[in-house]
Amino acid sequence: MNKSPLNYLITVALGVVLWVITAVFYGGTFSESLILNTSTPDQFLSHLRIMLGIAAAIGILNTIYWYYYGSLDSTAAELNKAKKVWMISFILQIIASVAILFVLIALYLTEGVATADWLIAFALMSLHTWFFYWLCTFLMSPRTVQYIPLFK
Amino acid sequence: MPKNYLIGIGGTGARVIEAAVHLCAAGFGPDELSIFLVDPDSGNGNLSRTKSLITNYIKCRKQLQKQAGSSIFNTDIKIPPDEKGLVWGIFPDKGATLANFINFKNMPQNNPELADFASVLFTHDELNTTLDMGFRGHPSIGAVVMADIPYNEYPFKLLFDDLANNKRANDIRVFLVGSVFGGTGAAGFPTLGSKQILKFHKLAKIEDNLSQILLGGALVLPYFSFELNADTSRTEKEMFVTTKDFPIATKAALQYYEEKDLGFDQIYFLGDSLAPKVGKFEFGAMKQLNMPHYIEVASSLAAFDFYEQPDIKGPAPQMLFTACRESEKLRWSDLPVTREALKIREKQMELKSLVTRMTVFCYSFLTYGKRILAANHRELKEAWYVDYFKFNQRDEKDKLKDPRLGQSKEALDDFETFANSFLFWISAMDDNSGMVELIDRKMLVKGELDTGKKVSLIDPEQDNTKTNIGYLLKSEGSNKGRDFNDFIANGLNAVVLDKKITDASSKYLNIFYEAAIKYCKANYNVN
Repeated sequence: MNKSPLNYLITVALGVVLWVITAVFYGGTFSESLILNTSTPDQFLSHLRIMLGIAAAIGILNTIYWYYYGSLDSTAAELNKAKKVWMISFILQIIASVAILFVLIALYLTEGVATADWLIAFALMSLHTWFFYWLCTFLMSPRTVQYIPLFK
Repeated sequence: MPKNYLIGIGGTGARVIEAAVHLCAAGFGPDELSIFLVDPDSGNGNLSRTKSLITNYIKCRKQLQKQAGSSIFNTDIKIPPDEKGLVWGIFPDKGATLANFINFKNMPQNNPELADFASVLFTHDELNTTLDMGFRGHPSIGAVVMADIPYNEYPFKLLFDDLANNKRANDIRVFLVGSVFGGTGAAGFPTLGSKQILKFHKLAKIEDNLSQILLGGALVLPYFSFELNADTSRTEKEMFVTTKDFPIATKAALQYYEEKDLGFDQIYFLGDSLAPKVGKFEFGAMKQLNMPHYIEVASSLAAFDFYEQPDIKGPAPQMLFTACRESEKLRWSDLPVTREALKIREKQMELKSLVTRMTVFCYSFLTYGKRILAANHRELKEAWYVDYFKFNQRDEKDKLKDPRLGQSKEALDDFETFANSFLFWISAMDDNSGMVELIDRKMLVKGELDTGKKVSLIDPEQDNTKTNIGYLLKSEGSNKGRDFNDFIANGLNAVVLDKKITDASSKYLNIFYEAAIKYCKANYNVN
């Protein structure tokens, strides 16, 4: 699974499937379950889909960059730098998930969404960003950097 | 299967054996080879270097579990059981002189005619100079003392035990190597090569003209020169040989070989008209430690060619071989690898491939390999390392899996010593004259080489030197210049080891060797 271009293709496919599951299937149910002051569930759903789309794009692009970086011959002799690159990417993914959530919170700040629902939204963002990045790099990192992701 | 013996006589003999051992390590030697040396100068630097190398080789080979098909340390080198028996020192005690050896003091009383005869044959200096440092370019002394070899003592016992247990004609292939122009080699080569000493010794003889021994030899003609030491007061008083004496000594010796009916079946003549300087003149002992030279490689190749010839059923026909370069430059394609014309190119490629591979292997191990071993196991994320070295450092049971500990450490230390010797040896072939175009020393070593000192290797992980590994072959269009990152990414990371290799040090070494094979194939187009 860590051979190019298989890892690239699987990652994009997985990101898209995950977005369909979270934004289309679960997103609909989740939006319907919310009690909003003025906005409609459809409005929230469309925003949620856009935010999840951005999160998924960030997750996919960062993972693809890691595959590219990890497959460079020069990386083989610079694993300490590679460790830093992976960790910085991972932290950026966490920051991205929080930032996207804040954008959504800012849009619906006056709608009275429960904290538990924001936590669910954060879980969805995380699924597309740092968790997606960790899972894909854990399973499909190029040979040179395959043991760099956390817990590998 | 025929048994192969390589006997190095004198300083040149020791240096040829050094080259043979390195080639065996690279995988170019025969399957089995018994080695011993003849030299009265037991402290000779060249001899000590070769002795250490042989014992180091045997240790490395014993400790190494090899990947299937691997050629590294292929030759089973056999030496006498007692390491001291590896060298026939000729004189049992220090301070020996020819006069003592032939009991010259009592000779006028016991045998006055013989005493007069000895006085005619030998000068006062020749009779009374101590021979602890060899025969000092006077083979006539050596010829007397070497005619009486101790058959029942090691190292000759090794050969004569085999003769006692074997009865097939030409099945014991004995190859002598020594210089024609010095002292010990010039004396020992024709003496041991005379019919009655080895070839038709009673244990070796089958019929009148048929022996168990197929006797070959490489007679090394002058191939180096040296500077005279500043200590001229000593050189004026003492007996020694200079480069100027070489041609006369050689001419006289060759005349002798032409006239004398010796026991050799096959002789190879080797020499080099370029005569590079190999250091300053020294009388002997530890100070006589010369730089390796490619003629020693050519001489080893002669021995290997001798061992590789097909079985000879009846009396062996006499054959003489010689080889020369096509130009002043020496390239891989100039090395005399075999007597079979149709196989020359193939064997030259094989030699080039194995030596290049061994060079990459030793270089990568001594630089990057040592750095990884020095690093903290838990922090290492190198894929090749993590794949093959999974263990918990705190668990006592897992200590055997750590290449940094116990027997694995000893084995890797032994290999480190060998790899240093190999890189020193192969780098020294490139004598800075620009004439030898084998491995490029400048790509491997920082500064000048110094005999007896560890080589100072160029770091292959630095930005400005990481492509050096891709340009090791001198003046070769086949260098692709792949850098050290390529060696890690497509060499080390692509290695798949046999599961039967369980020992940690063997795993570690095999990973580097297999990576060297992959890298050399990609970068140098050698298989």
